[in-house]
This record gives sequence, C-alpha cells and structure tokens, in this order.
Amino acid sequence: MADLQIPGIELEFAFSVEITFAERIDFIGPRRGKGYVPPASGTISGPLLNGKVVPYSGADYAIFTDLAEGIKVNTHYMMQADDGTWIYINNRGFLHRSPDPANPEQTRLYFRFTPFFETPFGPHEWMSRTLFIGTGERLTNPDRSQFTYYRVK
Amino acid sequence: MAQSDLPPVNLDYAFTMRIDSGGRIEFEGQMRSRVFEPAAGGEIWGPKLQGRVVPQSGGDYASNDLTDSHLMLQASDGTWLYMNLLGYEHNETADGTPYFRVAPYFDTPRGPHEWLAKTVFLGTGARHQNPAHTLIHFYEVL
Repeated sequence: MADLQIPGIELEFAFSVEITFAERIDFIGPRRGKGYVPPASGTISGPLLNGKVVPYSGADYAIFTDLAEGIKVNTHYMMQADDGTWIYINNRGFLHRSPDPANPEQTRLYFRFTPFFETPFGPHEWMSRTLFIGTGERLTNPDRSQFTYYRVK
Repeated sequence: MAQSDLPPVNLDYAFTMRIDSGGRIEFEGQMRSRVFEPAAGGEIWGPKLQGRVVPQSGGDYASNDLTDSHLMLQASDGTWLYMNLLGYEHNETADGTPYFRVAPYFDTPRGPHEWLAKTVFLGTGARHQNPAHTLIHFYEVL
C-alpha cells in the first residue's frame, strides 16, 4: 500500500509524579526474576491532576530476566487527587539502562510507560478513557523516581 | 514544574498495521459490554517492521470501550511475534468517526526483533469499510 498519509500525534503535558522508596525486593525463581518496590510516599502535580500517591497502597511488581538488561515494569497502586477522588493506576512499560552522557562511568536508569487508570464517575473519569505515555528517571539520595505523563490527544 | 523544564519525548514512526475484521460478536456481560472481533488477517509495513497478521490467530476481546487485542504476527523474515494491544476506542467524537488510541506490548524470540519486546509504542488508528478493517499507525516512544 503506497502513499499513505501518516498523521502526527499530539501530546499534552498532563502531570508529574515523584515517588520515594524505602525498600526494594527482588529475586529470581523458576519462572523469572521478580521485583517488589512499594511507594513510601509520592506527590502529583501538573495542569491536569494534583494529589498524592497513597503510601504502601501497592507496588511495582516488575519482571526481569537479568537486572543488568533492564526490567519490565508493572505497577499497581492507588493515588488520591486533591479533591479526594481515588484513582487506581496500572503503569506498564520498561526501565532501561544507558550510559549517562554527562558522566560515562555511570549508568542512567530511565523509564518509558503507558499508564492505565481507573477512576470513579465525576471530574476525573476522563482518565479512564484516555491513553497516556510516561517518561521517567530513577534517582538516588534519596531513593526516588520522577515521572512525567503526557495525554495522547 | 514549568513546561520548559519537561524532559523531551520524541516519537518516531515505526510501522502501520492493517487488521482485517473477521466478524463481530457482542453481548452484555455480567459487569460490562463485550465485543469479540476476530482478525481474519492483515498486513504490516513501514520502516521498522514488515510482515503479516496471522489469520485466525486471535482478535480483539474488548470490554466497554477498552480494546484488548491478542494477535500473532509474522515478520517478513519468518519470526513469530505476539502482540497484546491495549487502549481505547473513542466512539463519541464530534464528527461521529470513531478512532483508536492504543499501546502494543510484544513478545518475541531473541534476535533481530527483540527490541519490540523492550519498547513502548503509541498507536493511532481508525476503522474503515469495504471490506471492514482497522488501520493503525505505530510510533516508537524514543
């Protein structure tokens, strides 16, 4: 099939999330490597959502074959908007390792996601019907991750 | 965070997929509306993947407006690929034309196509008729 017009995609900055972590568990078993990383706290800020991540409301239940190759992220936890609305997030995607351009001795850990939300009827229900993509970085001192979410229009 | 401080997110057109519809079964389930739409076949073309949708290898097991397709694909070099396509079909649009916003997750053997299993993609698409099919353009999230 020739000369197909490929449309552009418009992304709109939705919100940023910063999550701190207090513990990390990982092991390798008969099926594969398994990670468990619960959020100790988190804040959400941006034009389309403000609120918090509910501490210890779930975790990243990641899978991997070799930690050095990166991991497949699969987080389930609860968030709460400033107006009190409960929001469930399932964040799917990948954590990649790459050399840090500013410091080639160090590796940089970065994320790519597509989060799926479940929200009640009301002002946040559009999130249950909207595709997002997320980018992020894992940072240290303290152990935390910063995520940036974009609404796909 | 100011808009200018945001990390850049770049999209790169990867491939287009035509999924031919093999019919439609609908019913009201206990908790949601279900639509099963088997894939009769299809074709994949573009700079980063070429191949076909394996006929009768699965389809869309949608509930409400949530698309959840499970399909086998075969790249033009013969490699088998599994794709789970998740996302939304938007039906209530201003001009009445439904459209899709989806994210595919792949599983692949080790080898030249394994990057697909480690990459986030965005897909946009729409339904077309005569014969009934869906066209989806996929973009790699760099």
